[in-house]
Amino acid sequence: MDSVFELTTKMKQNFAVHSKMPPKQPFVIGVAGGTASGKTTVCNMIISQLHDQRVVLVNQDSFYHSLKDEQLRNVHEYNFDHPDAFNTELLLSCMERLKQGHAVSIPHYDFKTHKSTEGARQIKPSDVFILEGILVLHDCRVRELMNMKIFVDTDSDMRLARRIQRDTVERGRDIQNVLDQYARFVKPSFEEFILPSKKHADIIIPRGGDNDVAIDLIVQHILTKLGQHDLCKIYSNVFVIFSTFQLRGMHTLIRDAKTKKHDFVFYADRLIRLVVEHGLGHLPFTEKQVITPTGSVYTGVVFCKRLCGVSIIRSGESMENALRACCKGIKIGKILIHGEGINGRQISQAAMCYCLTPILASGNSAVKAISLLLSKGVPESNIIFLNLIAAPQGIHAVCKKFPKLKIVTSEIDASLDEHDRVLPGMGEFGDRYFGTEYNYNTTLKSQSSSQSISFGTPK
Amino acid sequence: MVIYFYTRVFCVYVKATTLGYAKFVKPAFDDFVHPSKKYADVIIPRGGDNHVAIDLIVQHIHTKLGQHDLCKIYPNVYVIQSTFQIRGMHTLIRDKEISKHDFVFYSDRLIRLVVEHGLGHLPFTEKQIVTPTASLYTGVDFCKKLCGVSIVRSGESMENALRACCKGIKIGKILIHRDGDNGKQLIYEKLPKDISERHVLLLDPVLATGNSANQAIELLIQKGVPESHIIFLNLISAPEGIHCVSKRFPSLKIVTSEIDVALNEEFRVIPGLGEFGDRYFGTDD
Repeated sequence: MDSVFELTTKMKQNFAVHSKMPPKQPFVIGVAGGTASGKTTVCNMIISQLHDQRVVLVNQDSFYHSLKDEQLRNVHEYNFDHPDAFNTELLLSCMERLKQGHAVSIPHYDFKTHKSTEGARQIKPSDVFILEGILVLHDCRVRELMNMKIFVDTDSDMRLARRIQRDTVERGRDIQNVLDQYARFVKPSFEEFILPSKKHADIIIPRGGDNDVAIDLIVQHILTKLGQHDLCKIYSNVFVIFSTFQLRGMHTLIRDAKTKKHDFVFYADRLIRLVVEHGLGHLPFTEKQVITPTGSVYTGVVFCKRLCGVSIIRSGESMENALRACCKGIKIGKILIHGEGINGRQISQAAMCYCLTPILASGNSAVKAISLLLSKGVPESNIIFLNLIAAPQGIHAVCKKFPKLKIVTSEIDASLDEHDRVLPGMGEFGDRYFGTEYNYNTTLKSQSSSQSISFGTPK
Repeated sequence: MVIYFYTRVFCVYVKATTLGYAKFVKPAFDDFVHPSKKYADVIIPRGGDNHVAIDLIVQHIHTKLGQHDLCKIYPNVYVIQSTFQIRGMHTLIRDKEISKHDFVFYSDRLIRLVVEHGLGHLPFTEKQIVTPTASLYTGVDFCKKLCGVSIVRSGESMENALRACCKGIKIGKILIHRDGDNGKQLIYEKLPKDISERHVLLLDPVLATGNSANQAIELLIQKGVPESHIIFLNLISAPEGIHCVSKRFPSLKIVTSEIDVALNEEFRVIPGLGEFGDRYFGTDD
């Protein structure tokens, strides 16, 4: 009865962990560019094409500081294009809260009275946020909030022409006045602050709103990202293999504590094979034409043959068979990350290195193994890390440290428990796969921190 | 789409100047390369290191190329997601110079992927289980009432992969022979007795005209298998075959790894891979 009680308490605790899970990560796009470059047009086109999604536009203009009376009297002397004209702290705190899934109210700025009204617009958490403004790429803290940074690049003559048109016709201002302001503030600020921020952009859109191809490209990208796991939105080098019900069914079987060893191995092998096949899809290639037996030409590819696998002992060895089944005679090295260490040997100069470990938990041993591969001269971008199950913490740890390697996994789990075990997870993979006895409580205690590494890889 | 790789061009330029070619390269860059930037649809700063942008362009091209036209016409036709590895394996098995051993090895790998993809289309029921970490995992339980039916002879090459994925699966056989000019004739069939209660994976690596496939599907439907319970697995399909099968049986699913260009006057798939059965079983000379 005690064990039943223990189990139920544990389940309750783990449910608590799940309910504390962070809300869905929104996709944040920053759109910057000089005055009248077509930022708003670009944003509107993106929003109208993303009609099925909840998209919220946040304008940097809303975060202008209210002008003091003295400044108001000399409003022509005030530089609206300077970073200090914006309340960046407020913008940051608002975006931060929105990212955490809270509703916020943002101020409204009146261009006639130059006063800001607090809490004028209520913004609810959403799937996509577009942050638009001349200087949104200026502050590094604001940039860090963004998943994609766009700079709209339009010729300065075009921008001035549009600005004159807009300010005189739409806002009823005097043309001399507009030109004065342009020469005194707008142009110098553009050159000093806005143009240099272009280097932080991920993509530059020439010709602004007229550029349908670029808009289409961005919209497609957002749609793809929205359909993906949150972590794939953050790290473009994380790949979760396309999920089908068969895949989910296999996961259900291997995760079930009651599954027999024989079935566990069978379904784990099938899943591993799929992960390996997917991982092989990331190999570099060159084009090749062949003649088929029907005498026709088939334009295909040849893939890179200089491969090697490196398994992290012990559970990583369970993935070696699948790798061998797909790549005949592949060289497989081993890394042991645990208490006692042996001296390492030399690694081959393989073009691509597959690092095998079925479970990515805290990422500590993965980071150690990868560092070791790097120290042996394997370029970071040539490492592909293959997993069955990955915890978000592990992905963060590995991707932050090694942004160029690729992670291929079949499912991303909810979280880790206090012993760095993946939840819901599947228990101790190595023990279940190799059929060695395992006891949940004792394995927890024996999981001491890993210290040194032993190594044996193909020459 | 025109993409302008800002840094890459710039890097070439910098490298060249240090080598002393400033006289030629810089004017060339200013006169020709740089102005061409205005024709670009997107400009990629920082070149190859810009992962967000590269990801974006790759996604775009995938979506644009993405689906074969036939998949848009027939929603029940699925082409497995193509990677360069899959294309590389196709290149190998289509090459007439390849050894028999390699042909079998890479065909088997491709067939396995097609089978796995096909199994992904089976129905499921939701199931909750407790993992060894005592957490609850909401997964699915997949359909167990399954059987394979191979079209003799080349379809038998797909049986191994199916057995490797579904232990102890029942596999029936159908033999269809071309009978002169009168079309196809059914010669032999041996199917599980309770086939009408099962989901059927119909195996034939090459779908050419679709005549024998239609005959086989016709037989399965006669035996009481609902059309929507049949998944037809192919390695290579000709558009003619897909039209022929999907028009007649719109609720049947076709899963294939590549759709080829056409059929030639001898009803062979172009570019194709020749006689699959002969190459797989080593009976060609």
